[in-house]
Amino acid sequence: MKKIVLMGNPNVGKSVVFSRLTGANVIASNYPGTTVDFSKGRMCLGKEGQEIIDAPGTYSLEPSNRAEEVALLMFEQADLIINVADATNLERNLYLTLQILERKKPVILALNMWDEARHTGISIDLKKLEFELQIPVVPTVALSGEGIHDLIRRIDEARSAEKIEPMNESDRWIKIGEIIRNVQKVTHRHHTLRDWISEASIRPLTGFPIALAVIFAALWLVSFIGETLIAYIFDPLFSFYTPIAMGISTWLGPGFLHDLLIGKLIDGQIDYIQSMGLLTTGIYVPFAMVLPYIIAFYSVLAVFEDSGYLPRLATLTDTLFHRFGMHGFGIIPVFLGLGCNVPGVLAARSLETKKQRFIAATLIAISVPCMAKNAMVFGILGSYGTGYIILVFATLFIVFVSSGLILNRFIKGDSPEICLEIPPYRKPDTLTVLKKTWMRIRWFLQEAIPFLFLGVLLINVLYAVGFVEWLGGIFAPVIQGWFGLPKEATTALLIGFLRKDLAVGMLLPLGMSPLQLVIATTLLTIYFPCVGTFAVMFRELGIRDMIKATAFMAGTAFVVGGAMRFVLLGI
Amino acid sequence: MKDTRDPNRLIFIQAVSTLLGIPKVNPMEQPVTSLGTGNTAVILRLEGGHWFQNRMRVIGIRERKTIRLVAKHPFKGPVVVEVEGREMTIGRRMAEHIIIMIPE
Repeated sequence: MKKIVLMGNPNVGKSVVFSRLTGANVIASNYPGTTVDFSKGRMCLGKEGQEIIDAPGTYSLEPSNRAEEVALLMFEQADLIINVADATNLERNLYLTLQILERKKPVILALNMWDEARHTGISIDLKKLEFELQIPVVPTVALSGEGIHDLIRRIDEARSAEKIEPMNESDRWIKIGEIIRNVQKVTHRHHTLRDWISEASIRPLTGFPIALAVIFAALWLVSFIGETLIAYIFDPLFSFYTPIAMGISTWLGPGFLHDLLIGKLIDGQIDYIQSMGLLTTGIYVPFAMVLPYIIAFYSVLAVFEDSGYLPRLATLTDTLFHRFGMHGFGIIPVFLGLGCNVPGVLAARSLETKKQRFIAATLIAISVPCMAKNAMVFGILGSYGTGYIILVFATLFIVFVSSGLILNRFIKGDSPEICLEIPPYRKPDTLTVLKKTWMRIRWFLQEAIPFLFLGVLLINVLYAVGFVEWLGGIFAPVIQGWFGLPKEATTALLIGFLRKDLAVGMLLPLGMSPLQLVIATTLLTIYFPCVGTFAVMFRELGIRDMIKATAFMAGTAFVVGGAMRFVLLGI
Repeated sequence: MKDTRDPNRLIFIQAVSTLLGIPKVNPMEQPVTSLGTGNTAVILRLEGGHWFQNRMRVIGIRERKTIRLVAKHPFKGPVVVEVEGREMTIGRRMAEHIIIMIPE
């Protein structure tokens, strides 16, 4: 089977072309560095099946970060390259094109964003470009699908350029200069309203107020959508379900099976958070408490990503993030980590050095709560008052800032400066946003539900065999003596390794005061990442750095937990 | 006489000066950071290591291109520049290695 690899500069739309070619959905956004790993798909061409690989974007074949290393690896394995170039920026894109052609691989060039090029007054003579490069050139608009059929039809014509020999960097630029003079005409373009907004949102004086307003609006929107979904869709659905569950409860009668499926009845009724049965808490937590916020968060995030605002935010936060040993791009992994830590840690790949990646991954794991856990914190602490929720997030923010300052000081290595392309603002397409949100929701359901069920099952088994009592006894000096929490909270911390959302739910039956709940939920974020995040950190950082990160988390949890106890509960 | 602001001429003079070992003393040469916000100039040359220069060129910051300073962030923060309608955020030290010709 032939391997076809999509290659091109960052943010030219490779992932969109990939989705169009294979029908497989991959996450595409309007910022450089969305794809940090490769995705494989299949396409039928003639009789043969072909494997298509979407590689991370790269400016040249000399990688400068982990994501670009992946791109180079994919290039070396390729039988055929679909070089995706941004038609609005042909000159710069041709550098990679020439490098690919010098290596004598068969290439077809897709000139993407053809429509935008036309609108901005750029005209490219395709015939001449084909002649210069000696490969087929196809104009495409991947977002709308225009030109994709031509691309598929002409893949067979892909060939290697006979006359282009390996050359050095300056000769390559001279060659590009010649090509551009022959094929491209640019009509002068006037500044538009879009340019004006773009500049206002990246300049310090206007940019910071805009950023604050945008983030505030986003947070409000997430909580508004989340609450609305719960109040008008998910809670009404569960009010239909309750009589059914009660029926099962009576039919089962008391016993282990009842405890496992329905759980403990509270005042003779099912309590969806506290009962801890597979058919009660096991369903209610993921669907009625977490899912609404997951939907809310990811739909808002998708709009953010596709608009092109994130690189501007990265510019504004650059100075601050340098204090934490990263640069402004670090805000993007943090943002993704607010949905789920796993993609957050993965996104750290776009940072250039080991130091930056280590700090980004550790800070996410230690102080960025995922949406699943946040949803539970909103649901449970929210009933006592918004002040308690703010207390949790304020503490985590302080942990983020101080951990960043400390790690920057003690972790050896370089923190290079930011070098980030700012894409033009684009209006997010409704269908694309919905599709992307749906992909992430599906991913959440596939990942979360098995672990939630496993968690509920484990809780029941552990209680039944008396493990909870035993474990609580061992950790009592720390949990009870130092953090000021009931010793049964140990089990919640244990379950937190599987699912943090479920662990928050487990805190409720312990009869804690709201301030104790604040301490426990904060510690649940800091002490250790969940199993999924742990696995991806292990893979990205390696065993030695993972041990370092873990020790730092345990130490921080100990210090912060103790400090919170003395501040919030007194001695 | 030819216009002294012609970048090609300046680049030529520079090349000859370098060959003859004459130090560069053109007062109109400045790093891009010396531009006022919103102003434009022509890039004369890039300084710094080979790797850095290569990176700048592949993202579009190249000799003879017109560069516009979009924003300069305080506390030695990043600099946003525009070349051929594309905005880029680069670190302050990087920007100090981009040498432009100050327009009169």
